[in-house]
Amino acid sequence: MSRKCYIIEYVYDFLNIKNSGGEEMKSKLIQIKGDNEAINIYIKKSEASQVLRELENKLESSKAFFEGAVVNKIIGESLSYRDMKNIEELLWSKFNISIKDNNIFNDIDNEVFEPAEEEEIESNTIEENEQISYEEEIEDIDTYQERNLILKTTVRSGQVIRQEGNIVIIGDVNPGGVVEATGNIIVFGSVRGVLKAGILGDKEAYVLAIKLKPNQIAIADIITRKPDDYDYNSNAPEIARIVDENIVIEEFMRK
Amino acid sequence: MGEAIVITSGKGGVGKTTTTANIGTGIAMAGKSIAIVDADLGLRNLDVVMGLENRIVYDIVDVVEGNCKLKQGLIRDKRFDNLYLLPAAQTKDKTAVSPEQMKKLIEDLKEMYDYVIIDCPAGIEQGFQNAISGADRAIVVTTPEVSAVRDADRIIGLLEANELNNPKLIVNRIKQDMVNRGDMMNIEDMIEILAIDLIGVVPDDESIVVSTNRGEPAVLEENSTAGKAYRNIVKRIMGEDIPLLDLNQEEGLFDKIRKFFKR
Repeated sequence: MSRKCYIIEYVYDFLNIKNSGGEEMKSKLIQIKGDNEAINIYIKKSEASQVLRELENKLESSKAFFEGAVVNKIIGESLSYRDMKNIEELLWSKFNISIKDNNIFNDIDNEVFEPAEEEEIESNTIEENEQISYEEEIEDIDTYQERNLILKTTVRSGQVIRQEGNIVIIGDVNPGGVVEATGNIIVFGSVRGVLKAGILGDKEAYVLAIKLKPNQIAIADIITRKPDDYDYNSNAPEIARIVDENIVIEEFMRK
Repeated sequence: MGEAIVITSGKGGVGKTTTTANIGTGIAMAGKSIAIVDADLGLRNLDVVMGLENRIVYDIVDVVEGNCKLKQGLIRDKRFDNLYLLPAAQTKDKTAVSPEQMKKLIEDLKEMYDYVIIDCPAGIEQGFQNAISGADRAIVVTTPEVSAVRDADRIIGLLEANELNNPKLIVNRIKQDMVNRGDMMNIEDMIEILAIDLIGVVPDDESIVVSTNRGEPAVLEENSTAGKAYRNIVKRIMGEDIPLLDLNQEEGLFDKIRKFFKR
């Protein structure tokens, strides 16, 4: 389970990159993406030695995260079998990463990478363009998910679930557990931890739970905490959302 | 310039966190400014014992990594304006902070407060190294059990190896009636083994459990014997010379009746 959480975390990290539009956008030789199931590595057409170097740098920068991970697929254009073996060797020897499925090499849809590459050649194109092309890539990869995450689990202390889009949790969120989404959060269970909806600034985002007793709720940039001496028990599901710049909790489906 | 004190034990579950919360609150009660630092990354508890869990927005890792300012990471206590808590991170582990970073952090805190109390994690690994790296003094907590005393001895050795000399000892959770019956190690035995100065003895007190669960340190309770013991420890930390509590006087009516019939 913990591995899954990490992977989701990485989706979010990727979002950050997108939003900052910073340096990482420019080096697109290698992209490491996690969807809800696994990590995929995408490699663009390039010199094999350069690919290896870049991959090593990239993994080195977040070594702790990748250590011991399982990579689902490596998808690369124009990589020979020997190149792939070299990459596999690098991942295994330096980062203890194993590859689940190394048969699928060259099956990436060219359309995904080609437009982005053209922009890079032109260089110094507006960041916006790059962002749009990136967005297309994301949609290509997980269209059927529609950026909704359904998790049947208990989020325990110290676990972080992060996701672009909406999260539905079938289970509890315990104290010390954190759930963060760019969209809404719905919990079929008790919430005693921390919920952050609309983390990129969506003020329309809401939090809904069967038993909503969180230590903190944040929606967009507004944070509230549980009052110290206030113990209110509602038997009905409750929803928290922003009303006049305050987070308001009320019964959901009030008669 | 303040003074940094680390509270450590080696063995888990002897009451480091409870002791930290009580000593911290006690020092704040005495009117000194104080910051308490939870160095138990990944297993944060001090905020819960202090009743400040729902106020945490930033934590020690955010401060060390520069994601927020030190002032932003510090949570002011709800009872005392001169008491601040720097909570541990729950989603990271001990390796998220290095001893050098910790040392710098404690130096910064010492500039701002009269006292800095560091709650050390159990064990002797990096978490322990982090916790002691900025400290000027150490307090070792132990319980009257052979295993806890053994670990305390190991810790005292490690503290001395790290140039934290003359650590002080707190014996926690002592049951005086069991000691009197000879069923529990007595304090003299422990001091003989550990050969360090005793700074306080805290009796086993049910009210500690209640106050810990409620998030209100027992030191605030006038009637609690444990609270009284902690208040005395605070005075000793601040340099006063207070005699140890005579735990024999604290026996209840029931004990007296039982003794009467034994005769």
